[in-house]
Amino acid sequence: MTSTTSSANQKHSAANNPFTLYLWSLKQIRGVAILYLAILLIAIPIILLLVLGSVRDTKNYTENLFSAYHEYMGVIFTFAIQPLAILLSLIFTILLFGYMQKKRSVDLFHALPISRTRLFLSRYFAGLSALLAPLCLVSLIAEIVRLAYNIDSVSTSRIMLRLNPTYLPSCMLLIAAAYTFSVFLTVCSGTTFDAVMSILVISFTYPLMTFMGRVCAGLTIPGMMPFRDDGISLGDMLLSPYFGALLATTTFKGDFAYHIWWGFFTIAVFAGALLLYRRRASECAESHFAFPIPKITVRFIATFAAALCCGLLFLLLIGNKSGYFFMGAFLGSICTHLIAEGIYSRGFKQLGKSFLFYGGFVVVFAAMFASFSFGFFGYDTRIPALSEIESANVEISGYRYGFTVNSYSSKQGVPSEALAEVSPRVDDPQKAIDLHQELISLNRLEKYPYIIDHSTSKDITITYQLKNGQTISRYYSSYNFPEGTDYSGLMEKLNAILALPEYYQDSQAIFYFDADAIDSIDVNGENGLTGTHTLTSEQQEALLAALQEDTRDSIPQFDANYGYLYTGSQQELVDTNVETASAYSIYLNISPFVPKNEKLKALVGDYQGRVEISCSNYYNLAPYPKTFALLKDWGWVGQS
Amino acid sequence: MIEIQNLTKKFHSLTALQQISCRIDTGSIYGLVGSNGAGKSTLLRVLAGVYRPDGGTVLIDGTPPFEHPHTKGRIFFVPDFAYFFPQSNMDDIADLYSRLYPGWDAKRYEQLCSIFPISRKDKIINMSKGMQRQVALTTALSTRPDYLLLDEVFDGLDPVIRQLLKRLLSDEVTERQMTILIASHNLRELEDLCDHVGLLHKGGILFDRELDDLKLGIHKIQAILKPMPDISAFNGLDILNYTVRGSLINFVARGSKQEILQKLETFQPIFSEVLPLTLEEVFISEMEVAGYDIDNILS
Repeated sequence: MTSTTSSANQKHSAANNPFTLYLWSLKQIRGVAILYLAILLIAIPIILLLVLGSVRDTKNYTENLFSAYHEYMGVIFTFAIQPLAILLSLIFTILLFGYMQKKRSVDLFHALPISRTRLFLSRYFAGLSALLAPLCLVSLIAEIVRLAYNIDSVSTSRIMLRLNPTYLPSCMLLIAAAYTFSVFLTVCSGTTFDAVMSILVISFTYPLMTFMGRVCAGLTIPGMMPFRDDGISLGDMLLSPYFGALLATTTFKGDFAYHIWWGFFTIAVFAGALLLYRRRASECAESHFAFPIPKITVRFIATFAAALCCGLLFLLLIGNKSGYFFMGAFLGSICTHLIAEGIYSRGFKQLGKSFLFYGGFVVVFAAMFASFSFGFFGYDTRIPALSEIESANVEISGYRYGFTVNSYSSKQGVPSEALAEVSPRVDDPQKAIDLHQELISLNRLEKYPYIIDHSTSKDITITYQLKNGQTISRYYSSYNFPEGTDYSGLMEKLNAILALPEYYQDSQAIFYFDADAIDSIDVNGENGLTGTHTLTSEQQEALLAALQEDTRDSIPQFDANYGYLYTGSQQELVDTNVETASAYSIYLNISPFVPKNEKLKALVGDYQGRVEISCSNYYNLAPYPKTFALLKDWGWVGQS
Repeated sequence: MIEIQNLTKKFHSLTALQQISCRIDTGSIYGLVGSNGAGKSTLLRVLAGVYRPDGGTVLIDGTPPFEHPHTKGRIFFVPDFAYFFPQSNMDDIADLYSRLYPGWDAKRYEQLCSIFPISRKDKIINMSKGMQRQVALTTALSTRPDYLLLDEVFDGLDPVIRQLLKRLLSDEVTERQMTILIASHNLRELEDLCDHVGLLHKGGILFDRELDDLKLGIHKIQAILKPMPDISAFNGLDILNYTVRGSLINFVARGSKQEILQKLETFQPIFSEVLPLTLEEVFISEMEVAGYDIDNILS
């Protein structure tokens, strides 16, 4: 029984060519890939050239060209190219791997005389190259256009494309991660519907779960912040490369962990997909799932996210009691569980069994909130040892402190640069530790075990820079304790911090201004703006001196009941003119200026140009008696 | 040669194939019959390397087909509903197979294209079921497989194409010693093509015989006897089943034609004749003897 002919032998060598399947897979997606490339080529270079060609202003031609190029590139990448690449990673996955989810096509593919590994790799790399090659091409074209127009590549704008050596690879890494993740879930799923649904649900619910989890933890655990202002972290997208890739331009931090994680994630998910594909039974096509990983993971994450969301919703809308939170969490989770069961199992035949899973979820959820209530494994009482601390800082919201000095350029498109940043300091970390310990004691005494509470606003931040490079931050509320709480210990520690010269006085921007920088002041009365007054040089000097003196005299201090303690002259003003003085406020109109005073010169170092001080120039006159008196003398306030 | 030993294939709680064992010699045409859901297609998919067996072994010339590209390169599986790539025509399929199957024969492909009345450039998706089947067969035969696995291959083909296909298949077997395994629930289609048949039922092989042995060793007799003797009078004949209507007796018996007629002559029949049995009738008789409700099995 031999049938192999000489021509067959020639063909055999063709069959062994590793690129045969790869090229054939590319051929299968060529329609969409060509469309993708065409859209990219319209964006870059066609529209890019039109945008650059529209720059006409010859006076600031270079700056305008710079702005036009970087703004266009930032916008086109953020809002068009990256979302398109993300969408295509899903489409290519369906086109290239959808075959394993249809009984008829799986018959064809798995009967072919090729190993599963080769089949998988050929199709995987066909999709990957169809996604990334056009991106590389247009980036290269964009770079050629930039060089041809002699446009500077440096851009500091947040939204602008950072054409540095790591940005494009990072962006491509995220797209590769999103594509690989889609392929992994497709291998695990029985139908295309399940695959697409799993991809979308996990991409949406995972960041939601981490965000809501953080909010709940922050609302429960003293020291933790529910809403941080440091943007989206890597933790929010660990299992959601789509989310990560979509926000790559705006959230890209270029840090080591970011690249390490996504590199590891892509490789791990790729290896997992390959391993599972080799083990995947062909008969799983059109069944509920091939491997239960997505069903378990997606359902758990979605149920968890829904529990947190509904719990918080009940907490906000019905009442600020933990009972309402758990009621909402139960309703949200059970509904999501039932929906997920109905979709994944195509009905409710296995509903009884599914409650085993729900029971597991309840245990995890309860364990998590129990850990929050009891301080999250010592999180609430953690204070670094004095010997570990490099420096410490305390921020008390509501008080004027800290500022940034920036360079100033009148040229359009030339970005400003931060020259110096002055923050309130606590030179003796023991003072911060004392305050921290007091806050811990107060919380342990009055609130332990902790319950979720959305009314807590955290107004004190204690930050430790450790000698090992780590940073520890804790956020506390200085009030919001049960009635009858003794604040005296806390106020004592707080006043000690506020009284530190380096904390309050040295961080006031008013001590760094030159008098001639104050062009004019806007005076506001009870009914709004009463007038804008241009100052003479004498007036500039006098006003600055009065503001500095008042500021020096107005170190905030509190009594045992958290009442604001005024200084003698402030108290006098409050007692005699409180209605009048508190009704007035001024706003200093300050132009960029070349520093003359030594304090500011010391801050900016060698910089010779004009600077802008970024701070609040608004002053309510209630605690500013000398300033109020000066303005009254000039007839600008108190003329009722 | 295909050797199957204690093959088991399960789909979750359903056992599609239960400890099947059989041997299919090289160059034979094996008909696999059975009702819907008997496991015919599952067996073909295991042989094609699409499914991984859950138990037992399947060897094709000593090698299992699953994840053995070299072995799979000598097999071609034409499923009941063949899949074709969207927007593809027959030449596209031929192009793919020519790159993947080591035995691809371009000359044979041209030949077959001229034999089957189908357009090579038309989109396959727009073709009728019968034409799609012809596309599948044309490309399958062009790969010059050593083992051709066909699932309900005659469905949708008109009588002319059926005969043409049977002739092509027979020629391939004669010329190249190709082995063919045809799964069908239609015994009549297999009767004049197969040299070996096996009956699958509920995941097990009930019956596995050479067709010639089967047909030559069994006979259907019709006779008019007066008076009608008791059935016990036929002791000595291996009667599989019988019916009596008045003086007319019909029975199916195993044994040589001469031996049966000699026994019948002792009753001095008014009329007697030996009729040929169709494959279906042979199966029905054998299965009834085996105690199976054949109407249910072959329904």
